[in-house]
Amino acid sequence: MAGTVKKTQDDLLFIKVKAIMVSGNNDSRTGSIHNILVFLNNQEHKVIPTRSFDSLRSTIERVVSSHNTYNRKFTIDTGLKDDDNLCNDLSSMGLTIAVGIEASLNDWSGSWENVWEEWCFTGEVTDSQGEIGAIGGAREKIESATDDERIKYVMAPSQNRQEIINWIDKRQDINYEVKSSVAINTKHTDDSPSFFSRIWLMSTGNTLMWIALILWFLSIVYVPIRYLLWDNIQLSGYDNSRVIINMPIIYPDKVKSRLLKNGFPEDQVNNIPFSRLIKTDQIGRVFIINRDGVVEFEIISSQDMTLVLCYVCGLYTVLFAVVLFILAAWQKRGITNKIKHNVVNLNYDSLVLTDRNKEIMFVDNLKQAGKIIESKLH
Amino acid sequence: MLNLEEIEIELEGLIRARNEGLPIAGWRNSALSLFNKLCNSGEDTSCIAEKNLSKKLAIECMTELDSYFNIFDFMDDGERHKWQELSKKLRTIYSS
Repeated sequence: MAGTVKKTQDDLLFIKVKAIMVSGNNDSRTGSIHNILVFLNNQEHKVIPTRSFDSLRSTIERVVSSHNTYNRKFTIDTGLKDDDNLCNDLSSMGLTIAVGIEASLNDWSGSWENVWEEWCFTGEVTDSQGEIGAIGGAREKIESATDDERIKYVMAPSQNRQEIINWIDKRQDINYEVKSSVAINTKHTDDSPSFFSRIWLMSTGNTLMWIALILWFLSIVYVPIRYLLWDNIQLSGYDNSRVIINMPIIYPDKVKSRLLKNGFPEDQVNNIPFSRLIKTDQIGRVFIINRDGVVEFEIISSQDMTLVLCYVCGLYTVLFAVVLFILAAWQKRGITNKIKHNVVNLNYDSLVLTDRNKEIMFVDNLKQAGKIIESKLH
Repeated sequence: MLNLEEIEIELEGLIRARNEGLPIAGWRNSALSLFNKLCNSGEDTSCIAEKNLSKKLAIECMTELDSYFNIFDFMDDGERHKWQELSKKLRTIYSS
């Protein structure tokens, strides 16, 4: 038995769109809304049922041409059954199929899945530029859409606008307002990468930046390691009578015991002023010599390279991070400005059925239809 | 339970046979073999397209078999009835 199917990633390939058709005979023509399914496949254009393929071949080809997506193939399930008694041909499904294909190819397919039941379409795609031509049975189609409580948006050809207004005027129970010249903002805030993404993209943009990034990581790692290992490397002796100590001394007791182990007399070692050498601002080296029981020590002014490296690495770590943050913030401002310039004034006429919470939108071409849907989704 | 791997192999064979065109018998045999796998090939005439069939597999089986029956038509009313039942179930799977 067929039952509930667990959702998978493939589910987003199955786009559902509602088409309005007219069924019945000349005496009892009624509009009917049924679901069309568009599936992006990897083989060839197909239509279910196959007998409808010839009727829809040119429509699919026009839609695909208008999108410049010749290499993408689609399976269209018209949802038709053997006993469906349609009055009109399938060409008026063109706009519906086009929206399904648009949703399959665009990043709004995820959003479309949540709202598809609120939309229905009718319109013929008349050429490969995506022009939308008039349809037959507009009255029956709009009537069925206005009676369906789930539908909020109806999209129909501009060429049928007057016919539809005339029909609504005759209906006493429908109040409407005419809306026109609606400006649509087509900015996509979701398209701009996040702050940290921009930092990552910049820091890995080319080979030099990769090297700079690796050095940055090494610098971060070097400073704490240098501190942790400091005490281990502070003693280095040429022989038992000569010892070099790097400053500052963190653990003076260890240094004392090392000196005693090397044969330095205890009373002399106790006289070494370790308290002065543990200050962190003391840099350089102490050169300690055991001359037959007499300890001499001398502070050598030359800088310890490891300390210099610590300062360099610390400075580089901070500078690199600050520069990246400033550049990322600056880039964000650039993207925002770019988005502001991307505002498109797209005009379309629509009728808002005030007491039915519905909008009938009139369109001339597929590009306009796609932009309108996109603006309603965001 | 349907063996999905078996169905996938049958489907690939059917697509290959259809693309090759000739001999027609190859296409016919592949289509009927897939059809019988999806339906209960025993005495019971009910179809057993199951819920473990993925949406993708369901629509691809639907497309190929619909294309086959559109050209070769049905052997008898029994086969027609079985196909109507199967196609309804396949459509339910991928439209859900």
